[in-house]
Amino acid sequence: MKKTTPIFQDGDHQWIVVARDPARPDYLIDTNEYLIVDGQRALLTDPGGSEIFSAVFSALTAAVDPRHIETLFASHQDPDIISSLALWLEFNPDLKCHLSWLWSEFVPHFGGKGDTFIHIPDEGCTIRLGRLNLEAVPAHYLHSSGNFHLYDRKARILFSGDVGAARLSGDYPLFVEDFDRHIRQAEGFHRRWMGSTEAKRDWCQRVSQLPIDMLCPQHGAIYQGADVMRFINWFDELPVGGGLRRGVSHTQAQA
Amino acid sequence: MEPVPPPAHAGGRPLQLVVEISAGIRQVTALSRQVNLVALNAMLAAKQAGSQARGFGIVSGELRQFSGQLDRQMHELGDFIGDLVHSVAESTRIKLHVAHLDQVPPDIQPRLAGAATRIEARQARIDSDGSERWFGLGNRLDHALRLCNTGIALSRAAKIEAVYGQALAASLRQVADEIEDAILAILGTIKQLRRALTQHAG
Repeated sequence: MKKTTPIFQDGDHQWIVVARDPARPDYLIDTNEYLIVDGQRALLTDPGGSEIFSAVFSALTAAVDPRHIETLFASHQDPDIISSLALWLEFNPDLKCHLSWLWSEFVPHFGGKGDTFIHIPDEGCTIRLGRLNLEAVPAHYLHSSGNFHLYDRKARILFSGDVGAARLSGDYPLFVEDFDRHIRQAEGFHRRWMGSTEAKRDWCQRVSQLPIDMLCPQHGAIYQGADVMRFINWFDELPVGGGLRRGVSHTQAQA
Repeated sequence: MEPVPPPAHAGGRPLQLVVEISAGIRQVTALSRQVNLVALNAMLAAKQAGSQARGFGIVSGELRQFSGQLDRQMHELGDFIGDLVHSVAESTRIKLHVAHLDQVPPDIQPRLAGAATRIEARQARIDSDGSERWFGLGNRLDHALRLCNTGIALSRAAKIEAVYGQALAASLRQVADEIEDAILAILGTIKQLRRALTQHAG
């Protein structure tokens, strides 16, 4: 079963990560889900695929009350992000899902009706959760063409979807401990999955202006402290959209 | 976060129920730890008071044992619920597949008979496993109820022993009342969970 770990707490404002499932079959990529809580209201980022719904739901239920979850946030349209939507709606048909307008007619194939979705315009928007104003930060083409990250200015945490992701083994630490060693495991992923140098530079420029204590990807380990800026600088320099160049095979790009 | 009533809809009811029971277990665990702390303080106070509060000290020690047992039971119940949630979530997922297959026009359905049979077999396996787990959950809650009755008896014994505390009688009585209130709250919560489970089975 996945485990929940609180990563931020200030009164009843919390961030909890759901991560690391030792029972996960090795053909499924491991994912991190983040629960942002303000008092009795909670938002779950990228709730995951239908295959891991039971693992995510069990872990959440052991730690918090999932009935407080009123909103889902889908960074983009991929199955590992939001294909569990129909199951979440079985649990609570009133759940809303924030998602790029671009995927408004695609994601309902996973479940939900017109009024399930709250479309995020390209320029981003503010998502209100209790007393919190969370910011949907545009991250288009990183890697999806309609893509958003979620910034909590009060907690100084950025949920960065696939940016910062690394494919790691199940027992890997929750936080990056050795940046140089870690980033080698993130490189192939970013070279292949991130398709636009222009979009990447624009994102790095915007995000470097934000005060960020933790950068939380959907896969892999969390960057904190100085590693956040280290990552942004590394990403800014990284040639992307070239995972197939220089004889890099599909398998190598994933490694 | 405090438990909230489930939304008023029928869909996903087993998921709602396991969430309700998990919230109840967290409540009971918190109350049990409160009993442990109060009983520990009571033991120390009784020790300082000397022979006049010896009986109260002994009962407080037993109340701490009760709290430890209840804490262990709730921990085991939490693990058990984790497996149950897993089972219920899987069952919900399979039911969704079945619902999708049911939408296929009747004249096409025979072509999907193999898939339907496999899904039904899986659903039967998961539901049978789920039924056993629900039954096991009922047994575990009954066990916790019996343990709570012992706790109630102990808290009443503490009230009686408080009377012999002479100069400390009033403060020991206050402690005993506090413990009794916490155990009654535990009992109420477990009874509520048991009722919810019986209604679900019905």
